[in-house]
Amino acid sequence: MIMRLAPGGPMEEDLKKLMGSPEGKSTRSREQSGFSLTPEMLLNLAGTYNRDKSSLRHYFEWLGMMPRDTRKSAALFKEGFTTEISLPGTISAVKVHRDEAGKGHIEGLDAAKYGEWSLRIQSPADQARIWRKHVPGNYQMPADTPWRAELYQPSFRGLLQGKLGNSMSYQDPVAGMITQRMPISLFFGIMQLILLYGICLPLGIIKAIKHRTWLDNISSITVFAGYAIPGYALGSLLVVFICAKGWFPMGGLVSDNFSELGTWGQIKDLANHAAMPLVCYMVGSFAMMTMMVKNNLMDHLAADYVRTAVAKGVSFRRAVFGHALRNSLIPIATTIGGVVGIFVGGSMLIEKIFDIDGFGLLQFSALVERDETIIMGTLTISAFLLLVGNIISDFAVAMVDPKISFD
Amino acid sequence: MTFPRKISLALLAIIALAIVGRIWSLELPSVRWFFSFELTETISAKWPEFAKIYRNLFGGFLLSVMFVAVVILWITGKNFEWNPMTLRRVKRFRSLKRGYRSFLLLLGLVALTLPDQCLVGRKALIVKYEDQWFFPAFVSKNYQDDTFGGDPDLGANYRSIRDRFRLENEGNFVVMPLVPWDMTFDTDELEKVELVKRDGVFYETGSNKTYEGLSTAYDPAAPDRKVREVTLRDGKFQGLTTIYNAEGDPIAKETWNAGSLVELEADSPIDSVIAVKGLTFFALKYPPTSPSWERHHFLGTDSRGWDLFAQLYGGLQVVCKASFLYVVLTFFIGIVVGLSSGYFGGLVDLIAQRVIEILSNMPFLFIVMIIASRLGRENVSIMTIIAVLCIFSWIGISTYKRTAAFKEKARDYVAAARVLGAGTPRILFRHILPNVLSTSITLVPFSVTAVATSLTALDFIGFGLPDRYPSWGTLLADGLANLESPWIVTSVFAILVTLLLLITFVGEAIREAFDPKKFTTYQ
Repeated sequence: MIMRLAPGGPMEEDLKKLMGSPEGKSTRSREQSGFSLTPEMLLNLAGTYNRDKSSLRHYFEWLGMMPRDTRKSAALFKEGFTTEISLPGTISAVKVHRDEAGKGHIEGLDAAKYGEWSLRIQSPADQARIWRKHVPGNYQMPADTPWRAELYQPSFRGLLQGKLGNSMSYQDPVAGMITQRMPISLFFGIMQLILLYGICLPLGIIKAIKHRTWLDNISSITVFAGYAIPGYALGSLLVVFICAKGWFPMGGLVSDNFSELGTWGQIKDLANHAAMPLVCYMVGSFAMMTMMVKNNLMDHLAADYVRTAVAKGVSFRRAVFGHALRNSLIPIATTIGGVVGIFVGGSMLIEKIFDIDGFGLLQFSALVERDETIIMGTLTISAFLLLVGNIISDFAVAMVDPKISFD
Repeated sequence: MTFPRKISLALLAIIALAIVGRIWSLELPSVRWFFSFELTETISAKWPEFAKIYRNLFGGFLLSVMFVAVVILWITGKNFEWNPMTLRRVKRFRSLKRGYRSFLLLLGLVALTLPDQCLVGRKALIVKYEDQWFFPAFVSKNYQDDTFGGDPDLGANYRSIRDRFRLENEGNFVVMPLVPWDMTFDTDELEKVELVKRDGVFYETGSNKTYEGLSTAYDPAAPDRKVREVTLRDGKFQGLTTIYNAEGDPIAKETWNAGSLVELEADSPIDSVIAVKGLTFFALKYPPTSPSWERHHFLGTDSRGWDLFAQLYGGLQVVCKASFLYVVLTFFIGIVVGLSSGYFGGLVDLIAQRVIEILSNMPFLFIVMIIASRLGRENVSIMTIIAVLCIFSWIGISTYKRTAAFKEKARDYVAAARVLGAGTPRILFRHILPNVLSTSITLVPFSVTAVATSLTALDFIGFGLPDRYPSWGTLLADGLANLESPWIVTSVFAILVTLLLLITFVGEAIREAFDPKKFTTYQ
């Protein structure tokens, strides 16, 4: 049952296949530019951007089900059948021979000292194939392209080995980039949760008790008005009218001199910076929760067991809080799974407006720079957390409602 | 006449107008939209033959879809009677004051977009020139300026023609739309604000602040000829001044300090230079310019100099059209998939559910961005964006419809129909569909909100529609980049939130009308 409810798993892989294939075919503008492009430059570039193999193969490498080439080093056969390739990370070099058919072997490699290496010989025909794949038709490959030898170590480094790879534009590990931004997501997430439950629960209860009074109507209009305002539009307005006046900082999460401030000063600084983005995050989220609390509570207030409780002499206050409220909180428990999402939360738009370097901005800049490893990494993490969240939701429901069990 | 037949006739009239307008090369407000779809340059270059007929082809396709709807409405509407349940819901909806008023306002807002170029546009509605009448806004033909006694090499600029006619005062006149600006790619010349000199210090006309920045002086004999360009600090000349000759080439440089000449540097003798004394200096106002009634920029301009009101109006049109197409497509796909997987169940349901699971895991914004960046921003059209939106949005509808179909299938009237010998198509279309369909309307407002928000958000981050579409999102981003021009963000925010607020109130009222929550409140 959990498997049915919880998306992810195999789905998530399909998703990445779909993400990978349109991206995999795209050619870099840099690869297209210039007449002076040599096949060697192209191959190096294709290697860096994982364009040297099919996108499916690249996907499996990313998953860790196929080995990827690491510590690559290449050399050209200037003339004849022998060339020298330097071993990456060492000062030594090895001699590589090839025959007419394109078979090659390594000479003088001290395997005990430097480990096992694989060799790939690329004939001009092989290089022409890659050239045709990446370079638009009107640029021909230079005719005198020499043979090429590539030395590499195949190794499994993918998702299954717990590695998300390195960012293509920054060369930093993706996992590190994500964890670096988690505190920001967590901060906003926790603040949002506190505010959301702290405001919506009491408001919902008051609205249910004071149904159809002016208080109910006005608060309804307010929460629905908030619901109608997109966070990014409000953010733009706040930046122009409030932050630009200097009442609140324009962007960022902390001031430049944050580390010099005392504890109280740091809290104040953080609150000052976080206030406006929080307003934008929160503005639309009250309506759902408040109305959910209100409607559920009203259903239960009209129930017979509350009537019975009052008839037996329980005070109204106790009937509401002790009987009706507890039951009406059950559906709200289903939303608890979403809490997991706060690890990687953060709206792309709001973070862009307020210049907060969080998870959303990471995704956005990865998209702009077409940094595939970051896109895949962030997607994997958020899909995984969604899955975990759904499972937690299911357990929470089963815990608060004895009627539900997973047998 | 029954209600569906009235609708059918109205649609027929629209089709007729669109075709008549196309045949006679007329630009009829709003109905011209059917034949306004064109291929982008990249695709046109690939298939030039196809590009030629595409406009008629696509317009014809839209109109034939409408014609099918006309025929269906006409045939099925013969013995139409309002369902008492529907009537009760409508009555209940009208009794909900907040929602009903919002609904009327929303209708008004949509109706406001229909006059199209009669309200907003750079082409004059009526031109009377030497006893001849022209209606440039309503014909496809573009007039040259010499038609109205101007330069034969220029296209007619009706704003300047109007000013000229007023000056000449010979009984010719131009009637411009209320907002005489196109929605995109229409800028005016830079506004010149005269600087006044008091006690040796320059001020902007009507301002008490000393002028800062670049200012230009023109030849009193030829007001278009620039003679001096000078920077002012605290209202005084400061730094380099460039002096121009009659050809517009810089011939000399002066250096000033706090209003006094320090140094003169000239390539050639500068006898032709006009003395500073007799010159009037102007400040050039670069866009974004603030709202101004005199210049007919009622809400100001953005940083490209495009009129804000015209763009907001155009943006509203885009949102209306997009919502229409989006709602039709999404609900069509959603209802077909949801109904069939609910009614047939089994393998159909299994496959549909797996597809839904895959789709719902794909982050929508990512897909749009990837497609937009792969197509190239200029090749993205409103249809592309709507198509991508629809790929994801039918899921929500189909989930509801699937559940509804499951529920309805098990009810007695379906069994009764089957016992009476009704086939599957009849049960689906005559019995289940009408029951399932009516509740769909509660989802429409949320769909419209979704499409308006996503369109704006996409344009805001720069992955949406290209510049040829007027767009609220682009304006919002522009306003954020120009903090000293708060009118941009204010007006975009106002219209966006007004629209969304109205839709939300309507949606809430519709939901309440369809599914009234009757509580016995405990006293």
